[in-house]
Amino acid sequence: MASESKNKTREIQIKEKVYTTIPFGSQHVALPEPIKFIFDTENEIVKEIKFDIAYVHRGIEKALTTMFDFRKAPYVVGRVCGICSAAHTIPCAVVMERAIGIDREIPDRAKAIRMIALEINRLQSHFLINGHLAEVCGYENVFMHIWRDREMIMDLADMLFGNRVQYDVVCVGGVNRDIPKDKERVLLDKLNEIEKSVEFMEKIFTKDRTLVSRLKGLGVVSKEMALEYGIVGPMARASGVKTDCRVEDDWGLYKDLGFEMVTMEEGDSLARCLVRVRECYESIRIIREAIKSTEEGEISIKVTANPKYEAVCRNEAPRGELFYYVKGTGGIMPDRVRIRTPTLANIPILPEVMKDVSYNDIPPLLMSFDPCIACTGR
Amino acid sequence: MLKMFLTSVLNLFRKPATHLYPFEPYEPFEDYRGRIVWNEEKCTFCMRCEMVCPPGAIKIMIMEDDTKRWLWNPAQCIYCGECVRNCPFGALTQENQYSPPLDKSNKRDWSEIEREAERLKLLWRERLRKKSQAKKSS
Ligand code: SF4
Ligand code: SF4
Repeated sequence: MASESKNKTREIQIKEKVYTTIPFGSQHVALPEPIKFIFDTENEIVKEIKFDIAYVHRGIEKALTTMFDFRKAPYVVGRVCGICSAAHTIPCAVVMERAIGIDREIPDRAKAIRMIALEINRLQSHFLINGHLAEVCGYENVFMHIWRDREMIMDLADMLFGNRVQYDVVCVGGVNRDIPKDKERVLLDKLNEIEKSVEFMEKIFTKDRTLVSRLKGLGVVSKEMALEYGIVGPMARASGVKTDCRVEDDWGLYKDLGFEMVTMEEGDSLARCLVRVRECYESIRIIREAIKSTEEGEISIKVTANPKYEAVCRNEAPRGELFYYVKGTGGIMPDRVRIRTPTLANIPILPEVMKDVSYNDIPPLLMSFDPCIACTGR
Repeated sequence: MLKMFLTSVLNLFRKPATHLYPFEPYEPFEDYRGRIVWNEEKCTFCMRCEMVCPPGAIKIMIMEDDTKRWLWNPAQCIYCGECVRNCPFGALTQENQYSPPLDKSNKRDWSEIEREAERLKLLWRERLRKKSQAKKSS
């Protein structure tokens, strides 16, 4: 008798709609960074999303105009985000050079080393997020494999630049460390190994049934939507938008080295993930080309003037377009610095995509967006 | 299935991917940016390193009897190497060893030191001003 009534209540519960509000963050296992979402769900389906960012505001833009002179700025902005440290230091140095008016005089070797730093940075970031994506899908094994291989890239950065995370190799006027011949050789050897592990990653994300069926068709962003919301980076490229600041801005040698953009048409989580995997091949190719095309030599020029012009620089960080603006007045500190990070551009589309998605699909969906909240907070 | 079995058996004999740290010593890379070493003989107290250090991890104290002290805070240093590159007399070098962890024996109140250094510098400037004035009047 008792079990009968229990069955009855369960039936009623399933038929009825249950509305729940679930807070996700600001501390969550799937997201080691502070961002807060509030999901209003109907049964399991998410109906409304509110979000809250900037828990980690550090006032770096203000500090650059009041505390640190322009030569120290690249070292300061490297600390905006640990994962894309080189991606921040490079545009900061470039924008200061443009504000001084010496950006045309930077030696090619310095540009090549900047590119190598950026691409190594991109490799480790893409490995990180793909591993993380596998983990939130419940695939711990793949996560450990990918992160083990990521360690190789971190060691490579340690060997070349002297630190695993903060490369600090870029300064205003060039770079402060050259890559000698013997290290070049080690780098090229290691790149072969890294290429193998990228192949492994591609095999997993294209052939493995569990991952593919979990990610395919999840959170589709159409091309029109991508253009309307102005999303950037691998996310936009996964929806078929041809945008990549490596060809759109000319601080590096990307155009000379024949850089090719990776785009896909599907726009779902799997496509975003695969764009990142395929970009790894492109990064490896670019590093090889950059080493081949330049010789050891002059790596920096002397900076004597202070920034006096207004300048902008766009750089392709691992997560998308990173924008720096500086207004110099001839003093040692600029008047205004503005940093626009890629995640800030990618967040407004999140509520749109997350609507009508089952709640247990939210963590992989969010991970495929590759949010970096520390950047967004600054 | 067979391949999976083989991999699992082989994995029993493979070396672990991780480093058994306290048992196997970890050697940093040759060019690791580690602690800063100061050579007192070469230093002229030109204050260049103090000026270029981004986080302000170097402080030079000018005592009231005009002796000078060079202080470095390993906890505030970001190990960028800017001071080493900028020292005109080669008095600073960067080793590839990690700086020792802070404990009671080497912990200092850095904010106190910063304040003290500022105060002493003001006094020093005052003394310089007075000296030059005395020179002029004589
Ligand atoms: S820059 Fe060199 S010489 Fe000058 S104060 Fe620093 S350590 Fe001494
Ligand atoms: S390494 Fe960089 S942070 Fe450390 S004392 Fe030298 S200049 Fe300052």
